[in-house]
Amino acid sequence: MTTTEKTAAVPGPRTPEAAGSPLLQVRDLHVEFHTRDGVVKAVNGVNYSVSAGETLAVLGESGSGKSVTAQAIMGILDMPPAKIPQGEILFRGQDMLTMSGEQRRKIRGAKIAMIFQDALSSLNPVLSVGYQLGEMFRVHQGLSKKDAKAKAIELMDKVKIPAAKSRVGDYPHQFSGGMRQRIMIAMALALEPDLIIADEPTTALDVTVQAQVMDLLAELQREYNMGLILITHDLGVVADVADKIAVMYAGRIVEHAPVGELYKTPAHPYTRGLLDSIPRLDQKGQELYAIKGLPAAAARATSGRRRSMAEPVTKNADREPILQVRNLVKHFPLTQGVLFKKQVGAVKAVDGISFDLYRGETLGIVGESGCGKSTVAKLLMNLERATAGEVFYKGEDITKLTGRALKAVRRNIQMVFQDPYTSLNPRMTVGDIIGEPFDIHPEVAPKGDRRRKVQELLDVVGLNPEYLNRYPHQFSGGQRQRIGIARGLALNPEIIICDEPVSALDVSVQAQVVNLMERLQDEFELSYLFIAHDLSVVRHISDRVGVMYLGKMAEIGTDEEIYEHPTHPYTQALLSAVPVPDPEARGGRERIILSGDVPSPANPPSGCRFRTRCWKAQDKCAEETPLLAVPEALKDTGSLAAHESACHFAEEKDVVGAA
Amino acid sequence: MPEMTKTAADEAVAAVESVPEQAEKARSLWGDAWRDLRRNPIFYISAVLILFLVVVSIWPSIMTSTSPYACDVSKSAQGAAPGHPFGFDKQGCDVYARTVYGARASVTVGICTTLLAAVLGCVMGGLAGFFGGWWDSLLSRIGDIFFGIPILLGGIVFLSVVKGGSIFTVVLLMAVLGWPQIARIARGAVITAKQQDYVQAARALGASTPRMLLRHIAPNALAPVIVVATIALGTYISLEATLSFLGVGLKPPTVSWGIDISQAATQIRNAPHTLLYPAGALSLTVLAFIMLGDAVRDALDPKLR
Repeated sequence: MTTTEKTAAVPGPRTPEAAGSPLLQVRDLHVEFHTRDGVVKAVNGVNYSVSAGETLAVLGESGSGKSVTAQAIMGILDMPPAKIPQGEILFRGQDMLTMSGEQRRKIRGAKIAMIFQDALSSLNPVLSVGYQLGEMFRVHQGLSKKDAKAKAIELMDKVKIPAAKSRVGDYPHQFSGGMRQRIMIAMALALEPDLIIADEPTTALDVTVQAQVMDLLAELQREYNMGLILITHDLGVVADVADKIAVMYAGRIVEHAPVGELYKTPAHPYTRGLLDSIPRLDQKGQELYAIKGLPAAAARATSGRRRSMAEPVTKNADREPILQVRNLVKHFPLTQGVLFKKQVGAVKAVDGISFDLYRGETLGIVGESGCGKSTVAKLLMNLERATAGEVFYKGEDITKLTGRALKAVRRNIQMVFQDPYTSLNPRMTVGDIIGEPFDIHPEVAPKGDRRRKVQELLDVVGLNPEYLNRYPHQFSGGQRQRIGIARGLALNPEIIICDEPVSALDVSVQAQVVNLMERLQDEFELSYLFIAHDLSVVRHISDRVGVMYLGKMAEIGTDEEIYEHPTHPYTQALLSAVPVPDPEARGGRERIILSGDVPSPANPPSGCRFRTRCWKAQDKCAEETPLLAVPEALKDTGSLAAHESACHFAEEKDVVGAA
Repeated sequence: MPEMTKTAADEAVAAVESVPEQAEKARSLWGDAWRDLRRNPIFYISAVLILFLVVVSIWPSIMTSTSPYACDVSKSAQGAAPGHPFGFDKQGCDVYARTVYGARASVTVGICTTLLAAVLGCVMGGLAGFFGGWWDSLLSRIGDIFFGIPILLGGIVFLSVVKGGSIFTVVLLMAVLGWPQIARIARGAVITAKQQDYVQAARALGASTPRMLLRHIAPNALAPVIVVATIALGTYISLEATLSFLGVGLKPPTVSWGIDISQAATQIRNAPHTLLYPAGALSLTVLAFIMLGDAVRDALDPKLR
């Protein structure tokens, strides 16, 4: 017995501390949180190391302990409630856990810097960006105000913020999300640290911006020969930049391998599950592998039918669309003045969109934040009144309906919301939440029958029917989304509008929910309008896809057409920016990295809205608005009837590298 | 084969139907809150205290046989004596009897004003927050007008004009000047709740406006209102004292803690007991309501169970 105890106590094999000794070594680190409800062991014996110039990616889902480990390295854990009962964190061979507070402070910030996920809350909103950047130099190096400002401008140039000189006095809210994240990187770089810890640095950003920021980070890392610990849940991002990957699960590292090896031959079942559970941009059709995190629920979810690949998508031709959207417009007025409000402009959130939704199909709508895709969902649900345009449901324009007529239509068009934490009333039991549709439409289910109906619905979405009396907070995110779906199904609708239904969930849970939605579609003959920013998920679930940019439809067509033969430059850029979770696939891909950010919808560019970021832009683009049409260049190929693109110079380009 | 599927389906239905018998009754927020309250000792302590105060307010004679008006100036400001456990005030009246009889006016003013102000504030603030736009501007400005009136100035002007002095006029005045505070809280809470997706979800289902307000928004906006209202209750009781001190509130012969506290305040050095007892009774009352408010607020939050 004593021997086993001894071996357990010895930390991992010690690497020779020679010239190539690692910058940072974490050895057998344990972190506990002492709470009122008992001790939570967040980190249980983590070992990893990073050398100069090396990128270690720490991968894991929420609650895996990846961020807690990083906070322990930075020394920014709140102690208590946190405790580090065991372990070493060696920085250049010195254990930081036994250092004095003073020594530790000297390392933090100057030698090890951190980049956080949410740049807006990490910057002080009342101080100018230049002042906050300069502060590092004034405090740590005692520079004068003027010199500090010059240094700040230099740094902003380094992270490629355009017109740094004139923007140095601007405040954080005046920058876009991507620019703010650059400022955070600049701050981390200010004192030229040896090691940067980036905690989900691009999670809050759009794909095209994410690509810019990751590129910048990798470039700066090479230039300064820094070590980089990249904490993320996104397998795609990791494949592009990491050298080594540590996969964390429940406070432990379950797999630690060089990047190529891990993707090619994942050793641990969890890693394999994680890789199989994400939808791929370059593949389509197979059911997603669902990790059985919540046994009963997951088991049901995977029992769904396989989506048949052979199903012809051209089936739409001979069918009537169930929903027809024509020139839909929504402008939000911008007003000035307190008492007598005067309209000074309008945010053109949706500016003339047309599409059809056919029975039993899934139409995916993708676009970056601010493109108006969520507004489209609200307009279709009549949660917002359209400024102009029509939405025909079975031949009837539903945008002008009110009262009883509107209520009747709502029975047939339902919605699943993005955030399962705010879409369920925290003060209602699950039984009341799913039963509410019956209260509002009593004709659907007689009173005595409701309880049974609610239990059936719970069963259909893979939850235990006895959960009736629980409150939403007693469920996990994935389970809550199932409750939201059950509520949407209650009235037996024909159309379900899903506004980012899985974007708030962890990847393995995403897979469960996506599988469930596909099964329900087959079972109840539902039509989905699936709105998302995640192109891979959309590819997986959709029959047809529409790409939106700044309130306009850039390109729409069958899923295969859009992903394998994109013709609009924006679609091409968007697709090429999505990281593919396979380091071998990235070799053959051409990456288009767009410059700049999405312009403000209050003042969109004239003509083609994408022209300000487009590499094909010419004078014609500014003068003439391109219409959604089958591209001229592709007309003779014949098979492209279901593919329209709004570009003067539409041309096919393969960016996904699909087999 | 069809027969077999039918039996299987029947079995499944039967299985589902048998569940309700085993499972407990369908639960609701209010039912659960009540069950939670019954397990909370704080609730019992505050409820017993409040019940006691109400009983004393209605039948003060069961607590004392001494009249609060039987005063003997020769005993002015004397300490405790047999039969007079709290001593005498400056007028030589029995402090114990006055504290007991004062409960009626003070508790009535406190409860009534709080209820009236809370109802008025919730309705005005709730409507302003829910409908927004024009309604919001109008109702908020009306609230601001009342908010801008200094309560003492407003009290002196109003009460000297209506020649008040009755509990009713004092309650009315304080509620009219006090509701904007609660309306502001309610408006903010409603606006926060209104933006939540579950309200959008209810709208998407075709829920009516009253349903959204009462079932989704009100329960989620109630907590801050309860907290502010219970704290305001104590303020109202002492405000009544201030008005009485200025001679525009309740008039003697009405006995109230407020009147006694303001009279005793000048005597704090030579006869502290005359201040201590009515002030202590006031503190206890306020404490009881704050504890009740906290218990109710916690019971209405399923996350704390």
